[in-house]
Amino acid sequence: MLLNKAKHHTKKGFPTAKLSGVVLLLLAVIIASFWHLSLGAKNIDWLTIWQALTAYNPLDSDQAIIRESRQARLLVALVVGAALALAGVIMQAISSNPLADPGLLGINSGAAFFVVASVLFLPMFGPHYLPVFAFLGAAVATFIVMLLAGWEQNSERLVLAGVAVTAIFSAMTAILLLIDQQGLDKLRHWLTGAIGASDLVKLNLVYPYLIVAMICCFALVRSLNAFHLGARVAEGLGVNVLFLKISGLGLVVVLSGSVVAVAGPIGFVGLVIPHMARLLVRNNYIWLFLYSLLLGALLLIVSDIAARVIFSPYEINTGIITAFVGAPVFIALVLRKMK
Amino acid sequence: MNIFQKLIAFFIGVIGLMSFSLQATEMRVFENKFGKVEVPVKPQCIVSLHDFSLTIQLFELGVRPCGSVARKKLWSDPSFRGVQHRFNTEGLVYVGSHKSPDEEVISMLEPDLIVGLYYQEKLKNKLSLIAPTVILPTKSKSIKEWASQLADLVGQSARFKDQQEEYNWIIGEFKRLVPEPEKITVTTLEIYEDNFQLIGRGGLDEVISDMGLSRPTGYLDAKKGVNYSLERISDMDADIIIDTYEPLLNTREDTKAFRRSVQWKNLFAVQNNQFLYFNRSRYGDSMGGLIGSAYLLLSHITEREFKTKK
Amino acid sequence: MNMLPAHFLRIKPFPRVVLHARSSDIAWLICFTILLLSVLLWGATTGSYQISLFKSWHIIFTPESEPDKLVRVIWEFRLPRLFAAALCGAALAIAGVILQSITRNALASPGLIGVEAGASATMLIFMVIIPEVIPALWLPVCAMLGGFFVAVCIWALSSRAGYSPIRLVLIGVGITSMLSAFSEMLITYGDIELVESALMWLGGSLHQVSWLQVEAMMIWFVVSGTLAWLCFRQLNLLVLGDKVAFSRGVDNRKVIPFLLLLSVVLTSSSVATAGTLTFVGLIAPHIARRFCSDRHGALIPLSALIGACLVVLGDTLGRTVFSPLQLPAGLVLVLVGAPYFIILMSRLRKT
Repeated sequence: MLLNKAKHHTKKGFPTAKLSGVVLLLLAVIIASFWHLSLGAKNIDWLTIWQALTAYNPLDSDQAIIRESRQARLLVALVVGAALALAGVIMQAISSNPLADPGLLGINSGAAFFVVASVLFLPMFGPHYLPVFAFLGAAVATFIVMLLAGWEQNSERLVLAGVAVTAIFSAMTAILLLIDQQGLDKLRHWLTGAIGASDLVKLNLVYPYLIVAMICCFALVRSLNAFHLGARVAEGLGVNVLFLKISGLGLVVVLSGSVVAVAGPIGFVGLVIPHMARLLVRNNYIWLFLYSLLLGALLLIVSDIAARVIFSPYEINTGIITAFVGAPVFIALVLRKMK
Repeated sequence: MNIFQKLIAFFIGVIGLMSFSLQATEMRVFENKFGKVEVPVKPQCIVSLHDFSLTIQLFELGVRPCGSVARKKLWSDPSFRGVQHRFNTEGLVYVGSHKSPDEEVISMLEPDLIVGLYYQEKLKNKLSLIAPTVILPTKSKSIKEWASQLADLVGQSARFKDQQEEYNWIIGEFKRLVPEPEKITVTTLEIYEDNFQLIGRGGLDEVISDMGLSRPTGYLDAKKGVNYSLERISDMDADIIIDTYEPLLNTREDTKAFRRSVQWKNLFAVQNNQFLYFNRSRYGDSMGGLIGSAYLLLSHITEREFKTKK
Repeated sequence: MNMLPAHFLRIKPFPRVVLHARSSDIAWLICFTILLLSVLLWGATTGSYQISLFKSWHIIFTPESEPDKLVRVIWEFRLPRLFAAALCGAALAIAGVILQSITRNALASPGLIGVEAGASATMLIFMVIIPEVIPALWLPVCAMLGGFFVAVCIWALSSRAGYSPIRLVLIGVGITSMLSAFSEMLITYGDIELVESALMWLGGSLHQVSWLQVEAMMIWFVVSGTLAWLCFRQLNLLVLGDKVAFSRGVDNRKVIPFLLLLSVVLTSSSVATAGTLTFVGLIAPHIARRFCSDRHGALIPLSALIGACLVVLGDTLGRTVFSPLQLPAGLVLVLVGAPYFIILMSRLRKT
């Protein structure tokens, strides 16, 4: 009886506003996806897209394009956007720093360096080990950034430590590419943050890690909510703050390492999305995660569309668009929040 | 001494003087778009600043350079692209990368001539201190043009003329067998895992224009050397499509998936077995490359059943 | 009456000008000057062309009596490069000291105020997007102006509501990211032939440095470096905090822009001469601080000496380790300096 009463109470406070927000975002993502599938070298109308997805006719060349290349690219963009956004949310939460982002903090560069080094020095490990190297690189970079920045919550120091680490790893990557000039041709495209159809193969390698990581994110929600009120309050509520920080960092390493392994270093998404999400929902990390997931996917799809359309018929890399969008946002944040 | 002995002494003296002057290096002035340079008439030790065009061309002319730029592959020996499989490169000294060759190593070789490409003009000042440095107009002029300048530089114009004869004969043959070459379209590109670029290796672009072949409209509108999405492949459809791969980079295996796609199989050239795919190092950007590429096109267009769209 | 402790020295460089310096600082300065000279000598005698030490010595000091081709190797290939390396290293080290002191942040580096990114982007614009407009001789000057322009923008954005070192640093990071993305875009999608030429200018041009450039760099360095050193008292106070400095008569609004200007001039002249080297600006001040902490009178010259040593070392290693393949000095420095830097920084925080 009491249980029924409790259930009834929770149903009254049902978050209809937030839920409808999620539905709207989902709709936006779907619309953007269709738009993404339709644009490209040849604009394909939405009816053909629908047919390609549901009643595939392999002889129709338009449908073939959708199924063979564009679909893969869309999937990669969705997953990459979601993963980067989640990584950003966690990063900003555990470092209590609104300017944290895997790209700015050198995590992406570290992962990229380890991937390049593994391709050049250890080609005997097959492509299956690529994500592992990316994780290693991301972990090492995170460790070094933490070492340089210290445990003080000084956002300036953290960002500068990230800049130094990025510089270090980029330089080391550049040296490797100089000593092995053949490798340069192959990796140059990937190094600037490109999303392409071939990445689906790499995505398949990385799926299990991503799924596990995303589940773990949601498992941390309660602790994150408590931590948001302050470290001492969280300790009082029974949260092991050290464990939270370490597992959070671990999740960031897996999420951003996976993204780098698939599409190369793409920055600023993890910076921008958490702020956008916080404009819509405030407190509960469950909603923050959901919104960030969808917003991240949306942002990346739109950036990818922009990358393909702005300088048509040339396609620029998505990483460049996110930098152009994200850097002004970063600057605006600095101007508004730092006094 | 009687008159006879004096005459003999005179002749010996004259011959002695002549041989003496012949031993001093004769210099002459070489002039091209990049300026005037005083170069030796018969250079003995030439350093080439680009492996894929200049070094290959020198070897083809029968001149062995003493040093050349090459591509470095990690801990293995530097690879003189396009030369190693055709000529004996023993004794050829590696002098660094084409963007920053090592002047000290070049100095050690004591060359009497250094040749470079248009974008290496900036290096000319420093390298001129070692030996006369000539920059060849590889961007603005055709292969035939700069190869002829190079041949003139090293005193092998005869050998160059032989190569030119052979090339002209192939073009002549082609024009004889194909009365309306402009009706045939050719696309030269390089397909990678996620994109393609419009590049013609081994002088193919020059051969195509000399033969009077034409390009599909999609190709004419596009820009060279830039990444295009694979989706645009159908814009580049032509009667014959030519792609090259670099064996060291595994591109052939990486792009297999794309060649199984419906989009690829729908291309006219592919349907008619008119897609050519060969190893990039086979020909360099030299006269030999021109000849090889010309034979390739001659063979595939005139020596077997060839279908055209028109 | 003079009440200085015993380990202080009084120096009178000019009549009526008295400097007080710790004898330990002077000792370190002398030490590092000797080190720099040794490193320069080592650089001059090392290279792909094997010349014995004995012969190299003769070539440097009595060039007339040695064969031309050997003299050429040392005097035309190695020495201009070494001097340019030393000057650029010293310039960037001083710029680093300035930035770290005015932002009171140990992780600041000269690249932060966007000079490098601005110079690269300007160079790329004038070589790839609108080529042939500017003659080749003027390109380095344009690069300097571009870097200067970006620095001014960053300064303007960050000091709208008063000077804030945090804002300066962070906005610098943001704008640098944008400019890097822009440069990358040009490099990947520009006309490939123009890009090749541009990259030759941009990447580690210590390789092609001429005596003319060395002379130009010397002028920039001597002028800005001396002016920077003359501000050592203000810098000493700025490090202690804005309010302390203000109370001692240091006017933020005048001194800081001036110092930033000096930093920009030092950095952009160095970039125009030698390309990307900024890790020097990050580490050299730290190493110097271990010897003379924050006493800028000694810190500035000491950092300059250490910066010079580092770049000369990096350049010499870069051209000999994988000879004849040349690695740019900046990259070698990062490889060698990074582990040391990380250890240094982690130890620093624990004190």
